[in-house]
Amino acid sequence: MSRLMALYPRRWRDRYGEEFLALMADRPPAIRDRIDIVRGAVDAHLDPQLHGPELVPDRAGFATLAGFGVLLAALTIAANGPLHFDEYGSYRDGGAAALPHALATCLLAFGIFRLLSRLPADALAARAAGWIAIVAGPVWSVMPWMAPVALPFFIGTIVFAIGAARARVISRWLAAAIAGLLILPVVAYAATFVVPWYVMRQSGPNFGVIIASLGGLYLLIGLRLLRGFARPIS
Amino acid sequence: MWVMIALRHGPREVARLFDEVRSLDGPIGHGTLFAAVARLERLSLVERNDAGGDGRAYRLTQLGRTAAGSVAAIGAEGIE
Repeated sequence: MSRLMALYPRRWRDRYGEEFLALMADRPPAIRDRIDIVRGAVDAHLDPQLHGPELVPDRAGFATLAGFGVLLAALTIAANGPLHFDEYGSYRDGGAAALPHALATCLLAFGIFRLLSRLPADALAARAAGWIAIVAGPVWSVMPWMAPVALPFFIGTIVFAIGAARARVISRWLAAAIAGLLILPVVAYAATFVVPWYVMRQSGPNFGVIIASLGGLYLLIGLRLLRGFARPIS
Repeated sequence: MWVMIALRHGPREVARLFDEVRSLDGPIGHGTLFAAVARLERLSLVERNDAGGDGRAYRLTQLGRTAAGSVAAIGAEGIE
């Protein structure tokens, strides 16, 4: 029964789910009715049917999207940094990118803060994780080789996203996308506890991929804010 | 339309509404009923009474009563 209802959009389930399940219990659907339920689910997705509360975009999303642009600039600067050689091989000195990277991460943290502001007061774990991400992110941005700072940022963001989805501030799909994007950095930074630090530096292109996955985070959070919310922050 | 006709006689809890609409319109499915109710709610023709003593019930709004009356009148003329 509930599997059939799972086909419907969440807002529809929130509105009619209880009655729908009660009706299916009282009047068990025949095969034909089950087909009708599937058809109804498709219809509910194509034509939302429900009165949607008017969504008010959060313009902070523009700042987060701008952060994505600054991140790209930081990447470009880092990729063109001076080449240095030492006993572990060669590396690009990305020091000149530190400031734009810090700025980009602050703009991302601002976006996370705006989402965090919409969490209910009792979402303590999500709030705590969000604050950890907001604080650890900018610190990490100026010392991106520091796994003990990077991991709280990435894991905090993942836990925050999951909590925000549970509190229905963001969708489960968005939370899954954020977790999916950040799992690679988490694994990469966690690996630095068991492999020599210079291995990560030697795999420079992979580091670029890690930063690029962060770019997706900027876009997801920025676009989510711009999509809007039913109620303004009180 | 049959949902509105069924609700002309007063608020109906979903299972009863389902039975009455089926008696009027043949074996409509669960999905069709809720799609119709959702659209009628969106059009402000039907509303849900969440504070009802015996569970949630749907009823016509003022606009819905006017519309249902017109539909019934047109139906009656058609029959005559």
